[in-house]
Amino acid sequence: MMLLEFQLAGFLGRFHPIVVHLPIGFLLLAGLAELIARKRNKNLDGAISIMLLSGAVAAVLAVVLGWLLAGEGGYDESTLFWHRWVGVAVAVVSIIAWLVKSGQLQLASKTYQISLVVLVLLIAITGHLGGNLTHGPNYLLEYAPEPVSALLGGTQKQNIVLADDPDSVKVYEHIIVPLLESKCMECHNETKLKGDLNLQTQEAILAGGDNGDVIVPGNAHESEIFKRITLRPDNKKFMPPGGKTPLSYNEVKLIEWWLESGADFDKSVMETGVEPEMKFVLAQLYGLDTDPKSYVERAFVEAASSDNLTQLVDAGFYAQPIAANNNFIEVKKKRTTDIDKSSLKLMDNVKQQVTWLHVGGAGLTDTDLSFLQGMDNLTRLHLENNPITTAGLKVIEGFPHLESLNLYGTEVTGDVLDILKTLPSLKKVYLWQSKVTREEAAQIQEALPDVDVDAGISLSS
Amino acid sequence: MNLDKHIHQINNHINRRTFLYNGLFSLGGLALSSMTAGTSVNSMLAGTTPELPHFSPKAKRIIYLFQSGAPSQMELFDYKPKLKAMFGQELPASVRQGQRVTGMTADQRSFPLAMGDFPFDQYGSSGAWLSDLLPYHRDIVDDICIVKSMYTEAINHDPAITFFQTGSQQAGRPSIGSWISYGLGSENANLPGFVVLLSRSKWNGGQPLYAKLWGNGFLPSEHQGVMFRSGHDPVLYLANPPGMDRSSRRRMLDYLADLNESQYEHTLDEDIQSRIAQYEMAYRMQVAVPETLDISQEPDYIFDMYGEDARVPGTYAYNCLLARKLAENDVRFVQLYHQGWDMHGGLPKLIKELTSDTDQASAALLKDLKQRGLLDDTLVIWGGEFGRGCYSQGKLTPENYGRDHHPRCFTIWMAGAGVKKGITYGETDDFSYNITKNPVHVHDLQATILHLMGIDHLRFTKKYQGRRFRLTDVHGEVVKDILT
Repeated sequence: MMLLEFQLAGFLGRFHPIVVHLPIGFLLLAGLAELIARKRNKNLDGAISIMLLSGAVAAVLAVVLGWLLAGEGGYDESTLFWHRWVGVAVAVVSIIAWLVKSGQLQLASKTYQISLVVLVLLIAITGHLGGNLTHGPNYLLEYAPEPVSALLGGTQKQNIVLADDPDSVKVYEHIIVPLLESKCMECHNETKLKGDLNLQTQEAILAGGDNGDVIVPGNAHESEIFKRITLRPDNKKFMPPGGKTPLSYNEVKLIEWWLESGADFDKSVMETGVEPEMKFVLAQLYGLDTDPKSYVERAFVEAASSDNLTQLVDAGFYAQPIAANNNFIEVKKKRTTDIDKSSLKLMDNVKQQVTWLHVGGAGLTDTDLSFLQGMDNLTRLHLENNPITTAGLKVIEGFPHLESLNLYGTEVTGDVLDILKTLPSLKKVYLWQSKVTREEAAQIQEALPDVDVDAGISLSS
Repeated sequence: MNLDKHIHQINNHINRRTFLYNGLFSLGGLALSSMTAGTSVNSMLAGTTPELPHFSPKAKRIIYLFQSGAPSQMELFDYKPKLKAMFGQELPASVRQGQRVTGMTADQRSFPLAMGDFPFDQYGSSGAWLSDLLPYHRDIVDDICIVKSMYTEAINHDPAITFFQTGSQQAGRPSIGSWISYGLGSENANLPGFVVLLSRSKWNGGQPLYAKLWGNGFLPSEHQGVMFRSGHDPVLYLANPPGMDRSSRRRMLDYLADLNESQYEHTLDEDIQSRIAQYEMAYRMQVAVPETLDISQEPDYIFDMYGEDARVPGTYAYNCLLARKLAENDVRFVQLYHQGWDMHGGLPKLIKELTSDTDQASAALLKDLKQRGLLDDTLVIWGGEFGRGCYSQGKLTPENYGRDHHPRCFTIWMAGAGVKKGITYGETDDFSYNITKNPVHVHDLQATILHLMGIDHLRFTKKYQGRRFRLTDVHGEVVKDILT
């Protein structure tokens, strides 16, 4: 019996959103008719009386049905309270207005006029609150132009443009939130707490809903949210319900990926770790290229002027952008061409662009190396077969991106470690035929375990 | 009147072209030609296609150690204990699946599984399997990427090697070295961008290699491979004949260039420009080649590394040493061939001899490039045109058997710039007959090589006879799994 009652209430309650439009229409029309009657000085009392009566009856019906719908629960309490009682007020005031208009109640004509104005305001208020309950508080102004939404105090929707650097794209903030926003937050927000669940904030997600925890970090299949979006669509518990657009396969994969990787709220795409399958999803949905990229592929510099490059070429260097889509340049002393040391100065104009530099076998001494000052974007530096020592290398101390340093055939000694230690990106160093002994090379390798220290073949044999 | 006007137009056209073209080859012209070209500084390099490389390259040059004749994968890299356990038993029909074999074994009534006494062990921190035939490879096993799942469509030597080199089994397409020289140009104006070195095993006859393998096809002819011969005359007709000194040669070439130019003005034939460029290159090579190929200054420990063979011109070891020197001099593509891997009979003995030719020098080349820092941006590839079958060709004894051609799986290795080191990629079945994981087609390898050079194989085309040609035809997937 209880069950039947509840089902009947639920059944009828769902008609509230339909019926609710009737009093809005009737009562606003009554207000409009009254306005016209006054302006044109016409008597429309009979018609207005019918409008008010229809509006009042419809308002009472809407209130009753609304009461039944509210019984389902899952709405923000304070919004619901105001919607409910303002709705009741609409019904009451419309009845009074009809009584006055039909002559069954005597009130000052001023009071009647005010009651009509109040009626229109009340309809606007309760209508808006009802809309918020159904569609969420951000619905109305979601696509409003910025000045309009600012004026009306709507919450600013952030327009996320995914950067193409997967290191700076956050999985939760930039991928999961927009996804929840489009598929879940319409019902699971701070005002319309379906299942007592709000998915709008980190705290709310962690707080869970009626069914307890909504996420289990590290285990998608134990997570309520994942279970619900992967049920058969005809299951009553399938989310989103009632014919709303379900999550696409790729969107489900994204949720699963986020949950399985520990449901972290702060990690970037790269920190989260990209499995081959996710790679395709991220590329397809967001155009994110998650292949590991070297510094020169990630960073950007202005193009070197072709005059500067031409000067270098004229001085006997090979000088060229490293690729058609890249402004970094490679400068190389050709093995068979000798260069005038003064021409090293020509590189002053392209210091930011030079990333691969080969000046092996150029007869450079420590003092000549000063031209390297400020070449922060160097990733490969070939200084091999020059009579340089560790002292000359002071100039490259702390170069942030230097990955490969070729010192074979130079006079550097074991203390070169002091320089190498300051190079955070260093991956390879070549020390063959330098003054670094085998033992020292081994010590350097031990001190820098992440660097490939190449001492070459042993000459003692 | 009209005719005069037409001639005038053509003349204008010619003068502009000649000016630009000459500009490309002289330092003084560099500024002018790049100004007139306007957009790209890449055009400063002779023969460069301005939009290349498409993206940041991992490799700047390639050394391809081609093992001509097709080495057997089972005795070297692809360890198959089952072959020994099932010695003499028939190759199961479920494995062969009706696969065609060459005319040499098609008439055999029996296909007995064959494997001699070739112990294997795991080496390096990667634990890769290596045969005892390759003791020097133990030193480099953590620097190379062994691909066990190469396959091809060709079943005979010539189409197979032509396929590897040009992307087509039929002759006539440009060689991969020509493509790369055409696309990226040369960084050393005194040497060709594409050099070919040949060696032949003294133990076993070789399958013939024709110049079409390093031919330029429909690309400008200055991009064809230049074969450096062993001996005192590495490039034929390069040295001045007796009685001709360098200045006389210069005058002769200048006059010849004038004649060629005037011929070009008549015909507008681009091949004439290629010819002029090649004469100039040859003149510069007269000095550069002897210098580059001079190994007399190499210290003894280098010969200890490469093996004493390296002192003997015409050996594989000598050519490996030259390959390093050419790489040091920025030659884009060094194509080395070693002939003699074709072992239809007497394999157990021959393969020992062929590995004694090549094992030490291949490893030495890699180590030598590495200690000079050259392996950072040099790609080295070792491999043949196909593999060999698991069953014996001819009579089978534990000491003697042969192996026929096998295109369905074989092993190559790659090392250097942009390639993961110390990994083994791809798997084959217990008989090294079919690939069971991660197959790599010849076009996939070609696409991967171009990718490492900063070239998108899909976009790198040359229009010829009304259609655009690619090295990879309409196929090829970059094997991203093996890239760093």
